[in-house]
Formats: sequence, C-alpha cells, structure tokens
Amino acid sequence: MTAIAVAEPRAHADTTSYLRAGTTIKSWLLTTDHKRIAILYMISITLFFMIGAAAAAVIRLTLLSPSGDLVQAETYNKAFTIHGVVMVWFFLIPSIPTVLGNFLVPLMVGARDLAFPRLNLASWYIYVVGGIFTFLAVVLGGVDTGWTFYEPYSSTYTNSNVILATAGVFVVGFSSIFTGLNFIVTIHRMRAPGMTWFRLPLFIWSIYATSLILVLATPELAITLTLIVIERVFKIGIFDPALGGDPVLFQHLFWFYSHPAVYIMILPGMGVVSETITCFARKRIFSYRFVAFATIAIAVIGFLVWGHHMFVAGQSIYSSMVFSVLSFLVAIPSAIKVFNWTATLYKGTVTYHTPMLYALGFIGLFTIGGLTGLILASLAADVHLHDTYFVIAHFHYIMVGGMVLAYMGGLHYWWPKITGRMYPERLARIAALTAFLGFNLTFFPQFILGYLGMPRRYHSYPPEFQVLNVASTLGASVLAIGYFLPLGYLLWSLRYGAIAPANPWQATGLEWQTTSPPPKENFAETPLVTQEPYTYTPDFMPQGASNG
Amino acid sequence: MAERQAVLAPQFDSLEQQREARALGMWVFLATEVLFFGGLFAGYTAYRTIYTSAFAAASRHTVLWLGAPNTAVLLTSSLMMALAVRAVGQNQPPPHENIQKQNAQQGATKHGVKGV
Repeated sequence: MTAIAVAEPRAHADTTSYLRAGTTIKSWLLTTDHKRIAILYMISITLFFMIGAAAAAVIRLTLLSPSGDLVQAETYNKAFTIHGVVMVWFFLIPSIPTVLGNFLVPLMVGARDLAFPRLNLASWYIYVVGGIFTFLAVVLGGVDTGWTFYEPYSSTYTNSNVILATAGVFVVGFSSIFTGLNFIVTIHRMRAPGMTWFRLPLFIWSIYATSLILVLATPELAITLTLIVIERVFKIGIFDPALGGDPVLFQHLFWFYSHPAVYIMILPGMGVVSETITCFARKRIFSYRFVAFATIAIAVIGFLVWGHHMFVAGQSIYSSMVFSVLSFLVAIPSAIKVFNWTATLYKGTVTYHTPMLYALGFIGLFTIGGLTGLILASLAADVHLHDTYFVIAHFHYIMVGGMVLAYMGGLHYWWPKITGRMYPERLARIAALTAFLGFNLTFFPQFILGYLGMPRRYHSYPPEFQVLNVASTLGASVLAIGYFLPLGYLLWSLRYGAIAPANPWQATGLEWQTTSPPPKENFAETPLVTQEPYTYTPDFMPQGASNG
Repeated sequence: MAERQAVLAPQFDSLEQQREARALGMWVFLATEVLFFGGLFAGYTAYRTIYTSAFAAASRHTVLWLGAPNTAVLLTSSLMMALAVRAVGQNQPPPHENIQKQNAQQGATKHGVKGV
C-alpha cells in the first residue's frame, strides 16, 4: 500500500462525508465540490445514454425485417443520426473523464479539489445547455445527416435541424475543453508531496493524455461546425461544390477532430482497466513506464491517422498509403498495453469480482475491435468494407465492448468510495456476463453482415441478411437487460447496500486511504507519498471476497 | 498604493501554487483559442492572397463614417478594460464599476454599428 505519513494536519479538517455536507438542492446545483459535480454528470450522462439507447432500439427494431418499414426512411435516418450524436458527444466522450475523472483525479493526486472548481461547475452547466439544444433538435423534427454531418447534404440539401444540433455539439465541446484544462493544471500543479510523475496511478496518465487531446482537438471541431452553419445560413461556397466549395475539405476537417475523439473515448477506459487488473490480480502492473508512455503515444499518433476514414473519398493513393501505415503504427502502443495487462495477470492471484469481469471483457473485446481496425486500415480490404456493417461492428466492439464495459467496471470498482455502499456482488456478476453475452450476440453478426456486403445507414436490405439481423436485434435485447440490471441494483444499493469500509478491495492508491465516502476536503491530512504505485502482494485478499 | 493581497483559494496550498496554476490554466486556454480562431485567420489569409482584387473591390464598399468611429470605440473599450484590470490590482473599486458599465455600452455600440 502507498505509505502515508502525516505532513501537515490541517486545523479545521472536517470529516463529514461530502454527501452530507449540505442537503439542499442549492447545495448540489451550486456546488464546487468535484465529487458532487461528478455525481451531477453521472446523472446527466445516464439520461443521455437512455436517449441514445432508445434511438438504437428504433434502429434494431426497424432492421428486424428486410423491408425496414417500421418507420419511414427519413425517420430511420434521424434515428441513427441521433444515436450517434448523443452516444458520442453526450455519453462516450464525457463518461469516464467527467464522472470517474472528476471524482478521482484530486483524490488520486492527493489534492483537496481540482485547480478550478467553479470552472468545473460551469462545465457541467455548459454540458446541460448543449444537451438542451440537442434535445430540442430531436423533438423539433430531428436531424438526418448522420452524426458525421457530411457535406453538402448537411448545409444545402437537408431540411432537418442541423443548426440546432451542431450548436448543441459546439456548446458541449467547450464543456469538454474546460474539463480537460482543469485536469491538466491539476495534474501538473497539485500533486501531493512525493507524488512524482512516475508514482501516479496509470488512470491519471490516461486522464492526462485524454485531456491533452480534449484541449487540442475540440476547438478544431468547434470551427468545423461553425463553418457548416456559415455555409448553411450565408450560402458561402466552403464545402458545397455547386458554390465552388470542396466536400472532401469537410471530411478532412471533421475527421481531424473525430479520430482523436475516439482516443478521448477509449484512453480513460484503458486507465480503468490498469487499475482494476492490478487490484484483482494482486500484482503490480507489468512495465509501468511502457504503459504510461504508450498512453501518451496513442494520444500523439492518434492525431496523424484521420485520413483512414477517407480512403474511398477520392484522396490520392499516396496519402492513403501514408495514413494506412500510420494507422498500423497507432495499433502498436495499444497492443503494448494489452500485452502488459495480460502479463500482469500471468502468475497473479486472480479473483473474479465484478470489476475484474468487466476488465477481462474489455481486454478481449477491445482486442477484437483493434484487430478489425487493422483490417479496415488495409487499403484493399477497406475498399470493400468501407460504409458496411463491418465498420459498425468494429467501432462498437471498441466503444461498447471496450469503453462501456470499462465505464461499468470503473463504476463498480469505485462505487463503494463514491457512495459508501457495496453493490450486490452475485447479481452484479450475472449482469456483467449478461452484458458480455448480449453484446457479442448483437455485434458479431454485424461483422459477417459487413463482410457479406450489407451497407450501413440503410433501413432495408436483401432478404438473405435477415437471420443475422434478427440475431443482432435479439442480442441487443439481452444487452439491454445487462444495462438495466446495474441501473436497478446500484440505485437499490444506495439505501440497502452493505456499508462500505474505506478500502473494501485492499487496493493501493491514495483514494483508498480516506473514508468511503470521502469528506468534502478529501483527506484529513495532506498525504505524503513515498512508494511506487501498485505495491500489491499475493498475501492481501480483497475484503469483498464473499458472494451477494 | 498597496497591491491588493490575493486571497488563497481553499484547494491550493500556497499563493505561489495558486499563481502558477492560474497562469498555466490561462496559457492552456489561450492555446485552445488560437486553435479555435487560427483556422479562420488562416482561411482569411489564404483567400486574401488568392483573390486580392476581389478583396480590394469589396473593401471599396466600406462606409468610412461608420467604420472609423467603430474602430475608435473598439480601441477605447480595450483601453478601458486594461485600465479596469489595473485598477482592481491597485485596490480601487469605484472607477472599476464605472469602467465595466462603459465597457458594456461600448461593446453594444460596436455590435449596433456592425449591424448597420
């Protein structure tokens, strides 16, 4: 365990739990406590997840029949657009950084709060405003351009609420920028005495790399969205070829942000996996420095591969070759991390608590997603697979099989710390397995569908594809159970769950050295760090080893 | 005149840490603003270089009696803001309040002129 020495006991250290320090609505809506803001975000992103999931339900139900006439074609277009917009910008990008990051970054570095607490609260309100714009775009008729807003359809030919939707994304982008800025300054300037860079938990390294991408890439998205609106309103020929513009320019501008964005989504999940694998294998991470540097390498190289979304858009074969090589290169640091997690498990004392189940699921499914990404990065294969269900399956394996599992795993792992309650272990394991099975049944058939040539974003398909589509929809229903169960038992645990001790998992890390839940100022005394992270030994067993 | 003593925010351990954190935060924010507007400026520069005569023709439509006062208001309001920040640092609240009001009025004026 990280050794703690008392540095300076503060005179007025209040040990009341942060949950009880103020019980009015105003104390929550005007809080500057990073832990309460994390909970505000948790509630918001859960609501948006439900909206995105409802859109997914429309998609999967429509695709039960080859004619796909459950809804009109235009409505189907709106469904997949809203599914993408909401899931990407209002769930995946914020999820781990704003919920687990906001809660844990100050705790893990030994600080009392983030560097800019009021900016933190402002970023949540900005998120809510962006969410309202997007919600309005949905209820006032929807958007049908796809979450990628491709030109010239989105500026010239569609009659849907493009401006409202892009305004919502523009606004929520600034929420992300402020969150990232807060994390960068906190990690640089507010580490506890003795907390050197290479004593930081790998979760912090992941959040740091994610924050770098957030502040560097998101402004570029903001200007791209602004240009869509300018063209739509003023009819200046930026992207519309009929007005002298270049539609491929839009794709460059869009994907220059959106490829780093997918690393914003996955890097925090990788950080969670590093934390849970080490704890439940009772072993230090294999080659900490390689994992830390691989995290930064993914962030850097991730800015150089955007052209792999445009292999068939008419760009030169030479630039396609360069992007293909770079896309292969970006897989290397990801693979290093997967190998290191596997090596951490090797000869570890492994126990299969729920967070470990989610982490193991992440490793397997992220690997499949990553390998299929390499297939798509191969130019000749991509000519056939581009815009088919193969691509959809690939990124859902990463986003849902990887990221969502990591979020669920992190939520379970740190639930005792956040709420002071234990979740029911047996039910949680069943839910994790249900989600894993449901996920694979949903998305594995889509690899086959894509390979056989079924295009994406089509509401109808040849009848010979029906069996696989029905299997996929069935899988989605099972996956939904896997999501509803945690929603139910986590809420149940708030009142009826076992009271959690300070360190139920016998884990290392500063966040476990304070009470569950922590007091408002996190620590009774400023911690002093003298050891490397993950100083696990096989003798310690997690206290939550019993079932139920 | 005494410099106003900065108040130590509770999340920081020392004034030096607070100052360094705020400076780093502002520089990171400025970097994001450069990224945000840089594309626009680059696009403007590119188009102005390629279509010089078109820009020259368009600029001949400038209404000087609106544009010149607008520039004066812009420069004055920027000066007011800088003076306000300096006044805060030197612990002089009353002029600061007036300056903020003037600043807001000047900002509105600029927008009105642009609209015309």
